[in-house]
Order: sequence, then C-alpha cells, then structure tokens
Amino acid sequence: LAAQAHSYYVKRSSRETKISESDLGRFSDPAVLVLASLADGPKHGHAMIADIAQMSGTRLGPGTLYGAIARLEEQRLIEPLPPEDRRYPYRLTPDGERVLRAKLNILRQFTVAGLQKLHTS
Amino acid sequence: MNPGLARALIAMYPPEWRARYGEEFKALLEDHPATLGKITNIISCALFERASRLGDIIMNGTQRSLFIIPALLRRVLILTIAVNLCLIVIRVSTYRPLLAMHGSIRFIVEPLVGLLGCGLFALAATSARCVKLPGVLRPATAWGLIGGAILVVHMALEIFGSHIGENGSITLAAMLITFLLWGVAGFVAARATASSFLGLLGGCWSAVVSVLMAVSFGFALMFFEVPSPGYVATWEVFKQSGWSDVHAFSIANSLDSGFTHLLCGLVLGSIIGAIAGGIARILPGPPVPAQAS
Repeated sequence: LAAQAHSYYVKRSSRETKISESDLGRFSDPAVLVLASLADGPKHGHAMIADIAQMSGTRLGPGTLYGAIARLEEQRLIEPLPPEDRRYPYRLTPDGERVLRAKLNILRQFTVAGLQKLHTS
Repeated sequence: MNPGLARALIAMYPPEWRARYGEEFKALLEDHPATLGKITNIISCALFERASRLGDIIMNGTQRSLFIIPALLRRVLILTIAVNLCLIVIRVSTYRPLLAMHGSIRFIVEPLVGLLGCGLFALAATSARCVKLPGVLRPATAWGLIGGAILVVHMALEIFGSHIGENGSITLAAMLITFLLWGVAGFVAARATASSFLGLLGGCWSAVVSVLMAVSFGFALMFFEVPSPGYVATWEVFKQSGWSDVHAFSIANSLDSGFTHLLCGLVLGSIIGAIAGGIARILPGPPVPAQAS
C-alpha cells in the first residue's frame, strides 16, 4: 500500500504529470504541514502559521511557509481564493487532498510499525 | 515588522516570485515582529528561490533556453568583469603611493583594457541569435571552468605551496593542460556545429572563462596575500625597475600578471580554438548509421 501510495498522477494543464512526495522537495515537511492545516478549510498565511504551531508545535518561518505555498500551488495541490484585504486565503484542491490523505496514511503505518518495534524490543 | 525592512527582504526574491507573492508576503511580514531567526529564514529561502530559478534555467533543455543560456552566461561574465574592475579601483585607491611610481599608470590601465576587451568579446559572442550558440557556450564554459581551476590551483601552489608552483615543469604542465582544454572546447564546438568559426568561438570563450577565474583569484589575493617586502626585494625585475616602493611593485606585478593572462586568453584562445576547429572539420565524421530498408 505504501508503495502504491508513493506516487500519484495529477492532471495538470491537460497532460498527466507524475507527482510523488519527493517532488515536494526541500519543503517536504512544511508542505505536508500546510496541506494538513488547510484540511479543515481555507486559511491565509498568518492563520496557517498559528494553526500549524498549535497542531504540531512547529512554528514555520515566513520564508519557509511561502516556499511551501509556492511549490504546492505550482503542483496544483492548493489554490488561492480571492483576496481579503491584502491577505490571500488558500484551499486544498482535490489532488492536494488525495496527496495529504496518502501521506498521512504512510505516516500512520510508520507510526504503528515503529511503536510495535518498541513494544517487542 | 517595519515595512521598509519587509520590502528589503522581499527584494531578495526573484522578480517572478515577487510579482506573484510579494504583496501578500509583505502583508504577512508586517503582521510579525522582526526577529533574527525570521530574517535569517527569509534570506535563506530567498537565496534558495534564486538558486532554484538558476538551476531551472541551466537544466531546462527547452527551446526557450536556447536564448536564455547565452544571456545568463553573458550576465555572469560581465558581473565577474565588473567585480575585477572594482577590485583594481579599490586596490589602487587604497594604496596611493603606487600612483607616484614611474610608469605605474601603464600597469593600471592595461588590465582595465584587458577586462574591457573580454567584456566586449562576451557581449559580441552572446548577442548572436544563432540556435547553435548554447550548444557551443555551455560545453566551452565547462571546459573553461576546469582550465580556470587548474590555473587557480597553480597560482595557489606558487603562493601558498612554498613556491612549488614556480617549478618550471609544473608551470609548463599547467599551461599545456589548460591550452589542451581550450582546444577540446574548440574541437567539440566545431564537431557539434560543423563550423570552424564556432570552434574558434568555443576555444576563445573557454579561454576567457579560464583566465577570468584566474585573474579574479589573483586580484582578490592583492588584498589578502602580498609577498613579503624582503622576498620582493630579491626579484631581479624589481631591482631593474628602479622602483623604491616594494609594496607598490607587488601590486603592479599582480596587475601586470592579470593583463598577461587576459591577453593570452583572448589571443591564444582564439588561435587554439581556430586550430582545433580546423582539425575537427578535417577529421572524418562519426560513422552514419545504416538506413533501415
């Protein structure tokens, strides 16, 4: 399942582009945090930083956050909504939701397997 | 965060990134207090964005890159030349006694002219809208960088390696290998494009890249590593020069060496490139695969 979940085909500009988790690049972990933060609805940058800090204890720097946002938007995993004042809220796209779900499943499997190893040691 | 500081930090990002995210990023930064950690985070991410864009341009093999690569290489070369011009101006202006030495103006003007010559060559070589040009400049730059690294290592051996680099055999080997690399650049260019002229261009471009690397290294050393006055005073050329200021002489010596490198790069690079291009055109081509019946 993990191998199957590792890569996805995301429709992009009328052509199929293979997007794997490794394509999230240097911003891999921040990207997942951003996706997870948007899972319960659209948010702008300021709200994402606060939400991610509350959810994971990680306080993303502004540069890291927007690096992740830029790559996620480029890969069509999130999209901007009309601006509110000077702030642009973002929301998950259906592809973004699928990638997040698969990534979280892998993390869950990893967590379960790691805990089992601890119990048996 | 202060709006001025936010603007300055956002200015470090590439223009395309700023056009897309600049306004909302500025709004976010203004909502947060400026801390050293946040500033470091923004600077490192901005540099990463710029490096990514540069990497995209270099690695992108699309038709568009045919014209982006010459433009990019031109910018890098012109920037290197500008830095060297600044190094000369700063070095001379921070050691005024040099100007009082007899004939010192010639030592200052010559490398300036050499750098301007390289700049004119870079502009001329990259301004042609020839579809074969990126295929010439990219490999020639690579060969030139290797040649430049050899020249820099040789200079470092001369200066830091207890004068090992002054050994005649090592100097000769470094020179011949560098010339050979310029020839390879010319040969490859002529072979790939079936043009002797582009072979000459490839050889000369490669040579200019090499000598600019070496000259940048040498001019930077004028600020950090100067030969001891006692050592310079033993030089035969110093004794014959009639100069009384040993420090001024060592600066003039660096400038003169820089000019010699630049001149050799332009002249020898062209000659070697032309010869290699000619050889590439004379030698029989690779076997043509048999046509399927």
